[in-house]
Amino acid sequence: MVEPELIRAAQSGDRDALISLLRQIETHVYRTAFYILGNEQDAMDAAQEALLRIYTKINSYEEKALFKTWVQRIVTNICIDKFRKTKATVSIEEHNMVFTAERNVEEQVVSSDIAKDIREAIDKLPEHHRAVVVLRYLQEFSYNEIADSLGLPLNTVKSYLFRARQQLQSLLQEYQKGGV
Amino acid sequence: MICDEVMELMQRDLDGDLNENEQEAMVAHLRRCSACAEMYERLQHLSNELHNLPKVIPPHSLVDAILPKLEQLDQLAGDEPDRANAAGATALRPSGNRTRRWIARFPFKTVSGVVAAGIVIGMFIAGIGQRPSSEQADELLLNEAAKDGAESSSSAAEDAPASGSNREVDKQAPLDHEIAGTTAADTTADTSADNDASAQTFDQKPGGKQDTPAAAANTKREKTADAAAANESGNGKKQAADASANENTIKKDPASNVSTGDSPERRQPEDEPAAGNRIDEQVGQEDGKRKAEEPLYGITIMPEQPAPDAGKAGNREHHTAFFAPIEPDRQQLTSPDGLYNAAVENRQVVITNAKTGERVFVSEHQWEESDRVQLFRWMDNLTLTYRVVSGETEQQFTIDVDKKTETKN
Repeated sequence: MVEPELIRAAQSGDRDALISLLRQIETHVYRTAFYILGNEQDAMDAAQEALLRIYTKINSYEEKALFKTWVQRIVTNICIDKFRKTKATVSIEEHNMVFTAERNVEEQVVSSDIAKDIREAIDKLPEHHRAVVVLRYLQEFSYNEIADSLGLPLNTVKSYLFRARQQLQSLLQEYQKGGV
Repeated sequence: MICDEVMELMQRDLDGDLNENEQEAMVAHLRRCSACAEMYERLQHLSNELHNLPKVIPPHSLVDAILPKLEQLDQLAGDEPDRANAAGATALRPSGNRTRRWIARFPFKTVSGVVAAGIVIGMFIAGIGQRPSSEQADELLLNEAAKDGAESSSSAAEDAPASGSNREVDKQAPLDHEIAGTTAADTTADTSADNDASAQTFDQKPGGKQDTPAAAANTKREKTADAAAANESGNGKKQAADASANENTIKKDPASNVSTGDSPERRQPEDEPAAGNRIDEQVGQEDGKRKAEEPLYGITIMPEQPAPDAGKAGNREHHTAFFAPIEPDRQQLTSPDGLYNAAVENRQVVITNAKTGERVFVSEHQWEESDRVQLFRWMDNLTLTYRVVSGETEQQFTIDVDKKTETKN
């Protein structure tokens, strides 16, 4: 994904290299944020925050880890924090209202009907399950890479992913029944 | 084997994690157990859908949006600067950076279109102040509003024509326009500072002068501004998007800027993430319309409507008609160092050496007529990304000019 030479140049203080590196990863960062947070605006905020953090912390990256998992760790951490904060600050009734409003925004962003059901289902997953699914399918990470990114044991990653898929599957089945 | 165990095998199979024996055991069970077979089918279907989720991309470059903040971070990390100076510097510097990026990304032709339009406006405003004998100015002078504008635009009269010959500097006009816009919008007192800055480079005049009278008018002529604000409800954006309606709004632009004062929309915060990008896109649009509109600046300068009406279009005009918000598909994109041109030819992405015209890379994909191929950005001097929208699916590709490879993102 990102050339090691570019990372080294960025770490040695080459600002252009660092900016160019950020440009290479911005889409990946945004994509993760979009699917964890479920809407464009929050995703933009979180992705920008992640890029800023990568910019300031580039020297704390060590080559023994994969760069892409290091990046995804930063962005998922920010997203999960944000996700918790929004959840904590809205009461149940308000949450319902926010949820409806957000769905409208989502519908504008992705018009595909097929994707809509599945994205609604993803939104219902607990945060870590969601993050695992996003890394597996949007970033095409292996179990190990997901474990590195989220700082979770391998078995936990598997059980989150399997449970998430089961839950998604039954949610989709419900939608289909409801639709008939 | 019990169904629970098979569930795990099925799950791992979706991730390609089974060895041959495990796979066989699973398939054997699925043949016998219809419930598991059905579940397996559903899981596979789900997994396919997850794989096919839209590969969303940010609506505009996130890195461009945070560049100003990065500069601030760099400054903080550097020597402890004089506080007052630092505050002033950070206000202007981010835009400077953005402009450099525009220059890198846009062909001169495009930028010069905007500059040309700016010059014409500048010359026009100058005309109001300095040449009352011309027939347009005669009429304009009857317009009270124009008098206010004349005062601050008088210096533009000398400078605007001169800027036409200074191509290098002219490229910066869109930026300066923005700087001036922000500065002038802040306080009227800043107007003088803006003039000082403008005096150093001619090119700042067209942009700077548009805003300066407006800012001045903001305090001097609150009445007019209020009236204009009351008429604010007109949908300036729609008009701007429509080419014919646009001609009308453009005609009014110079005069209404002068007469109506500032509007809240004009006060664009320097660090607004969308700003750089929006203007990027709009610059391209401006180029296409330039030919049709240009003569209008010269001929139809007279605002026949009373000030409030003109204000309706004029206040929005600044953002909309001048930089109309429609992004055209870029058919050509030059690399930051100017060595390569990327273009869409015959629905294929082709990269040529800018000097020799030699084809350096031709994409192996030839897209359908119905697909929309959009050159997105040069990541660096040798890496181009482009998008292809086919119906509802969107794909992004990266071309490495050096290695002559193309990968799907």
